[in-house]
Amino acid sequence: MKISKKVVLIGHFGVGKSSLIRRFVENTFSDDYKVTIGVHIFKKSVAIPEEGKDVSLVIWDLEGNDDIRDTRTSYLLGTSAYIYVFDVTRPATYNTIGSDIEYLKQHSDKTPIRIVGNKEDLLTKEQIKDLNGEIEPLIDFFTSAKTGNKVDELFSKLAMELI
Amino acid sequence: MLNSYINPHVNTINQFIVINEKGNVIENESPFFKDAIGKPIKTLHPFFENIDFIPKKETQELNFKCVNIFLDDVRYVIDITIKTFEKDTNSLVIIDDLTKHYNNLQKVTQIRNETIINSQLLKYKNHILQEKERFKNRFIRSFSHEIRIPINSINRMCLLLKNTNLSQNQRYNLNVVTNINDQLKHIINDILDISRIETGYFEINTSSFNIYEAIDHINAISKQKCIEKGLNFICKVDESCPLFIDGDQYRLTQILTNLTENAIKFTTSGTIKLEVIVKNKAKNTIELDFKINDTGVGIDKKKLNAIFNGFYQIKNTKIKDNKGIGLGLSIVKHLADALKGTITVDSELKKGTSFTVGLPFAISEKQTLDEKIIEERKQLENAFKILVADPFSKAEIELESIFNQKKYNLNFVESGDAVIESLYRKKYDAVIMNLKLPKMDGLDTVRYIRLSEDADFKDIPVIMVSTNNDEEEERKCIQNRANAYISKPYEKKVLTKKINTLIKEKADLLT
Ligand SMILES: Nc1nc2c(ncn2[C@@H]2O[C@H](COP(=O)(O)OP(=O)(O)OP(=O)(O)O)[C@@H](O)[C@H]2O)c(=O)[nH]1
Ligand SMILES: [Mg+2]
Repeated sequence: MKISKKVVLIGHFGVGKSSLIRRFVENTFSDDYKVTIGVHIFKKSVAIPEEGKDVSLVIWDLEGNDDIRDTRTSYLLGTSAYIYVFDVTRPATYNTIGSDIEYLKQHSDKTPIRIVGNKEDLLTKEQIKDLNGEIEPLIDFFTSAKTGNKVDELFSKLAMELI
Repeated sequence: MLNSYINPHVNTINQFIVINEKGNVIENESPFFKDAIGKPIKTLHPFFENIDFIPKKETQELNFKCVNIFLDDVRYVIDITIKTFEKDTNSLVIIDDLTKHYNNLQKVTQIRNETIINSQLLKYKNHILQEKERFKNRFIRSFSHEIRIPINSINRMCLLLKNTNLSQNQRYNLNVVTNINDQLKHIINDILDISRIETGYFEINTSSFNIYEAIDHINAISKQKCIEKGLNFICKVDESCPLFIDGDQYRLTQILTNLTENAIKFTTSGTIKLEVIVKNKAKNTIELDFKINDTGVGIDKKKLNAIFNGFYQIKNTKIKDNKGIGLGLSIVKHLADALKGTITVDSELKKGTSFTVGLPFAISEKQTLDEKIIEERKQLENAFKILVADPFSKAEIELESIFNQKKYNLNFVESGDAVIESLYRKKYDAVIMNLKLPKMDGLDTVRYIRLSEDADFKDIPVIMVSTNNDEEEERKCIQNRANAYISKPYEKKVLTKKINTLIKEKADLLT
């Protein structure tokens, strides 16, 4: 049986969780916002040639909320990795990043968490740098579901680490 | 309350799947997953792929609400419950199809989220705009400060040059340079003022003040300027206006002087009028309209909207002292906004312009003048008002001790120019003036006074003071129509006697 890993995308609403997944799974993007309620589950396998292996990523696209403590905890069971997504153009989506990460860690201490600033296409390099100053040490990737920037890298690196 | 929980479940049929210890489907009543029997549940849908964590042989119930699944391209939204039992190795999966209910929920959530996101984005955009604006203003401020240094140096160099031997032509050119430099300084100060207002570096200080006095003050300054330009100046305050109001007197003065100066600048003949009108009066608050009319060049109706933007200038070649740029009006607009007021303008080319500034004030609690102030005012009115021009440091102390405060009211200035200015502003009974004064000296000043056309002071008694006690000097003073010459140090008897007789003589002359 192929290795299967559950990856959960979590974060405020409208930050681009579904868009990132759609970019990764289908390589498409839409400017229209269609809110996710509950959870969508997607699957994509990632080949890791170095190891001669395939990993199935079972990606859980959770509905966004204002406070991740409101997330239904059953969704989080059996998670191998979290991708915490925020929107670089909306401070409200990253102001609570510290306590949000703390919350996830309380939930499952050893599960890796990737922190992703999405919609980087909307800011200039300088603006990203300014933003970086505030939350620098935490962020792993600045992505754009729209242009596809760093999206594959995000998922494939994660897949590699999970085996 | 309970209904909201029950309703979604009405008319839904629960579907059951039973799985054995190994995770294979052994019973299936779900139309969603046909032909499932015998298959590992993990293969039915990715949802089931990572449920290994579910303990077996323990009674437990796990709820997964609102799970979106696609079957044959149709989207269903279901609740999935997984039940395990202590006494059974089989587990039960219960599926509840709540698509309709969740679709309604989605609509509501969609609207809610979009609204919040839009407002967050707007807030952030504003924030970024404000940052930019702040940066711009910081830049302007430091730039303006920097540029003052060379401007002041030019000024100093001009002054130095002025004191050297120059031909008439050179002197003329130097004057032009000095004037242009002054204009530049004026502009920079205006720019600084605006950037201070915009960045909120400027404060509003509210206190109780006497509106009649404040207007009187503006009247004094403006009248003087109008006289110099051959214009009339009329000033009127609505009598129903209370004596004391709460507001920022300094900013009000700034607004009104800017507007009157502007009016004077663009008027070559006729009248400037400043009126204070009570627009609304409530128990504790009052709205005043400050109306400034002129009979000047006027502004093209099409351009009226633009005049409050900085750097607007009314083009008119006839006006020689066209020092102004439109920043004054821009400042006034900013100030009026900051004071929660309004400004409107009405104008007709060649007829004149009228600005109206509406400002809200609180009516001060106390409306009476202090007894003490009334008493002092009375005294002041009855006292002899004497203008002293003596730049030497001890003069003030010496004279204050000589003259009884109740009977004499002394005002001190330090130059000849200041004497003239003070005489224009206020009525005095006599002038005591040192011969040695900076810029325009004592003799020149007394000459100016006597030659002036102003009935209020051209015959005012003038006592010249000198340390020299020199007959030749005294002769010159009298020749220039000073009334008396005394030598320093001041002696009480001599001085008071002289003053009293001179004032009395003048009074007798008038009656
Ligand atoms: N410019 C730009 N827009 C993006 C990007 N990613 C997502 N969006 C837009 O952002 C909006 C929200 O995207 P979603 O992917 O639906 O966001 P979500 O995090 O899944 O939202 P919820 O499901 O409500 O939690 C959509 O209008 C997307 O088109 C991006 O990288 N760049
Ligand atoms: Mg989504």
